[in-house]
Amino acid sequence: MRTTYRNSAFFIEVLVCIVVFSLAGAILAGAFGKASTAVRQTREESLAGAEMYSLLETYRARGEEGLADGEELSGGGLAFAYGENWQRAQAGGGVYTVTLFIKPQQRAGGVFSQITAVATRRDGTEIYRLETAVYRPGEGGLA
Amino acid sequence: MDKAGYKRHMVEGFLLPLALVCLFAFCSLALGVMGGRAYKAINESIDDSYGSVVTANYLRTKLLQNNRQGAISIEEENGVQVLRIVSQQGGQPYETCIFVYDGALRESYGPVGNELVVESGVEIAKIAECRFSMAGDGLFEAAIVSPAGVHTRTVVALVQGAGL
Repeated sequence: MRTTYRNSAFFIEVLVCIVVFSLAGAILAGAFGKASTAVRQTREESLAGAEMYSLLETYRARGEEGLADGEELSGGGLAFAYGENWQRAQAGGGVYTVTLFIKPQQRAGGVFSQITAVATRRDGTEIYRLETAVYRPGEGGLA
Repeated sequence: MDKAGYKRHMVEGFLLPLALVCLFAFCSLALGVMGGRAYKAINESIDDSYGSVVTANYLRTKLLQNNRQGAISIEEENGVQVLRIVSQQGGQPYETCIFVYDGALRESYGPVGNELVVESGVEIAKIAECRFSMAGDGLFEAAIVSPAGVHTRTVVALVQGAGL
């Protein structure tokens, strides 16, 4: 009887050790995973932001003609595809997509465009969204 | 103690705890390796994107600060592509030369006409490649490639005719 009790106590102790260690390990592994994900997301956001800025600047200088290499979407908007390393990719392919939704309004002195830029992963997850406006005075590039 | 009791004592009192300690040690080692790899990957990723993002922001800031007619030009010197930005300092023309040399974006500042010594350029950020181009309508583009191969573009609409 006493031996059985001693055995049970020992196994419970071992079990508690394993559970505590497994929990600690799982928490640590989760923290490593979260850190990697956070860095990946930060990198994606900063690179998407840089690319969006470049597209907007191209639009500011050249208007929609400057964005002619984008794929026109049926629901409006121009889509630009990028590969894993943010190099330009074939339309419809790639890992990332930057889509510009441009709403131009003719004003007395030029064109005022409200632009929504959205960067997404292939699975549709949104990485970064930017809502801005670009004013293009007169015709063509900068006055 | 009989033979069976001794055997059980060996298993419960020695082998099982030893196996448990070994298991914990192995798991700790695996966790340590996993953590080390994660840390290394994070550091490499930060270093890599830091270089290209710093380069993109630095170029954009420099160009916007000096976005004046005729202030910005792209030239080739001794096989090195140089982005030249001319500014006035105490009534004298000075130029900032930005170029890639020895795996880094570098900057050199001095009076206009001084010979460019690429080795003396101040390092701005580590990058593998940076090609400058400027279209006829003043649209400047820098195509930056980080050491890990990540592409970043910086496009700045310059005042028409700048540097052309």
